[in-house]
Amino acid sequence: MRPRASELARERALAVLTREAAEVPVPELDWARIEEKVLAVRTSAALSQISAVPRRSGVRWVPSPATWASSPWPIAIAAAAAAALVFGGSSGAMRTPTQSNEPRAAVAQPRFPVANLSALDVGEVAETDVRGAVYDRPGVVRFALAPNSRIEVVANDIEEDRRGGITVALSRGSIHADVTPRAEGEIFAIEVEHTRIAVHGTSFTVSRDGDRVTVDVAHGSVAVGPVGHRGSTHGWLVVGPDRASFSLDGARRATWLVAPPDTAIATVEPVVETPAAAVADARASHTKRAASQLTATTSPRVDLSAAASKGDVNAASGAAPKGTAWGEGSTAVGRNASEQEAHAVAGILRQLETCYEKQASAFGVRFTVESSLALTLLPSGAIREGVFTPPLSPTLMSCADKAIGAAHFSASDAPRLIRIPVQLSRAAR
Amino acid sequence: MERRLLASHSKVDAAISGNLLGHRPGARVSLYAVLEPDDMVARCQRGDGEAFRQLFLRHRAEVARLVFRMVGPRAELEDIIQEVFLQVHRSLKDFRGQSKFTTWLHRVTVNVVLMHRRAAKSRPQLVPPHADEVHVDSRLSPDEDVARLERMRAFRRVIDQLAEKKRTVFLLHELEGLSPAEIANIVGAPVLTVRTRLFYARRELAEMLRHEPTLAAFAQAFERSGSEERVELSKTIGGAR
Repeated sequence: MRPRASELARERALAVLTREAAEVPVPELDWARIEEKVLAVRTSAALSQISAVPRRSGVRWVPSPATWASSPWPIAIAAAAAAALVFGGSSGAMRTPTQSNEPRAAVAQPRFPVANLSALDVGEVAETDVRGAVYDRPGVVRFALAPNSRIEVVANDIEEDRRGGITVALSRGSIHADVTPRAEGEIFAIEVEHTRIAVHGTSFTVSRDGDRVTVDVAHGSVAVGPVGHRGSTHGWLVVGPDRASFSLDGARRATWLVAPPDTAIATVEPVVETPAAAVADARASHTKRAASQLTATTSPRVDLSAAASKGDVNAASGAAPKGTAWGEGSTAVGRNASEQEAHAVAGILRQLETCYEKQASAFGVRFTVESSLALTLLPSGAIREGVFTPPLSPTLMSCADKAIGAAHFSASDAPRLIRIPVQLSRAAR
Repeated sequence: MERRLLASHSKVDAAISGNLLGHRPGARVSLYAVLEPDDMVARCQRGDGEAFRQLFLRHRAEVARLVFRMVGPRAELEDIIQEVFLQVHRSLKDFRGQSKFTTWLHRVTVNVVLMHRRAAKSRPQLVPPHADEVHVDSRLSPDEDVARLERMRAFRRVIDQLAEKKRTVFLLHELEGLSPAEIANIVGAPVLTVRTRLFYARRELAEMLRHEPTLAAFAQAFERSGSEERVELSKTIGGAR
């Protein structure tokens, strides 16, 4: 019996449909994320097993990729190197950053091997598998490399030049570092692609998460900015306890992850000078930030909305602004500012002068600072953002942050932008 | 197993000296690039983390393809792939080498997908938009692509109506191109049973096309076409390969 035409048609249609279905390409998948999760879970599963084997090293020393590529032989070297490591070193001294809303890297595992940081030469790669590792340079830095992390030593010239200090490039995973405070230079820095996180003395964690790097400062402060300014990293200043996430293109974008309980997480674009942009982000206020010196194309930011929203009204508003700075450089909106605004600006300038005096005295040299401060004001009068163009030095910036964060302007119907020329010099006084 | 390890070691030595696979002496080659699948598995079983990573890199594409064929374009695709490899990691110690690793990997993948589907049944389902409600921006896609996209959606709905065992066999054979013998190994059933499931799967699917408007119209187009292709059609859809 011959099949009916309709049956044959359906069979033919089925054959075509099957062929078409077999040709549908697999969609693009985020393999990095899948790999990270697979290996991370595998690592955590293995950790529990390996904890019963205390003398096994989780450290892999991988020589320069240029010559060894992905050779597994560093494993053998790691075994030999691990024999020289001092076991049983506790990383209990490592401080776990607080106030985080997300799980932190489990870098403070007991029984991590402790390696002498001096043994790592420039170009060498240290990679952890199922266990973390602790690197120590007594009196300088002690950092813990989380499981499944990878770093490459970019600079280890602390003996020769303290400005260079120790720099490692984090290509995967997480580092928690305790840096002994030093007055001079950047003693320790972590680079994640084009973003550099430099510290002077602090306890902080840096984690790479895809195309972002999360900086978690327990105490002290770190500067985050583009690479290429070793010894004087420019950009954002994260003051602990705080947590922020940055893009890997030199930290052009920042997201503040730790916020007061009643505030939301906000993302700050690199350059926001328009009141419209201020309105867009006005709903999300966040913690106080300061930016340090920036000589790159992007402008540094001083994000102060939360400080202002907390009601930290400037207590030093009384004196009139000095000189011609306020009147000459302000926008039309600024010229029509109320007396309260004039006092607020005067307070900021006065504080800046104080900051300048302190720094000039500390340096023992005479120098002049010429910049322009653009303040973006929310309708409530709170300062959403402050941008110095060109930026100030990190020290001056940090001091200016406090000065600007304490200021408060009168309320208005719409966001405003105020530009304040800043000229600081001993000769001018 | 001992012999396999010895072979592995000799390759390692060769890799060190750079004499393997025509590499110039002194050149470094990655051990994992030259390891046979069995050796790679053996390393994974001994807890070599890098070997497992390499195993993941080597097989992730085929796992992704199989998962995609079985579940379709779903949001949880990546989660299922991830679960497959976690399951592989958990179960690798039980792999005795009695079948090819890829066959074992396919079995694990199929089982994870089936477990996922069963678990999904007990959860509230997000109802996909009805075909009529699907908005397609014709300015962005040629008509034929849009029609094909809609056909594939409808075909996926029809396949999902098949019983689990028949659906699995159909997908593995028709979309993944596995032979009935391979499928028998994966699903743990006799080859004859696989062929039987395949036969009934096709028949049911052909019948179900009538009730899916998009596909019914598609089939009618074939009915209207000439009869010169019918012989070829019968050959194409005939028995199992």
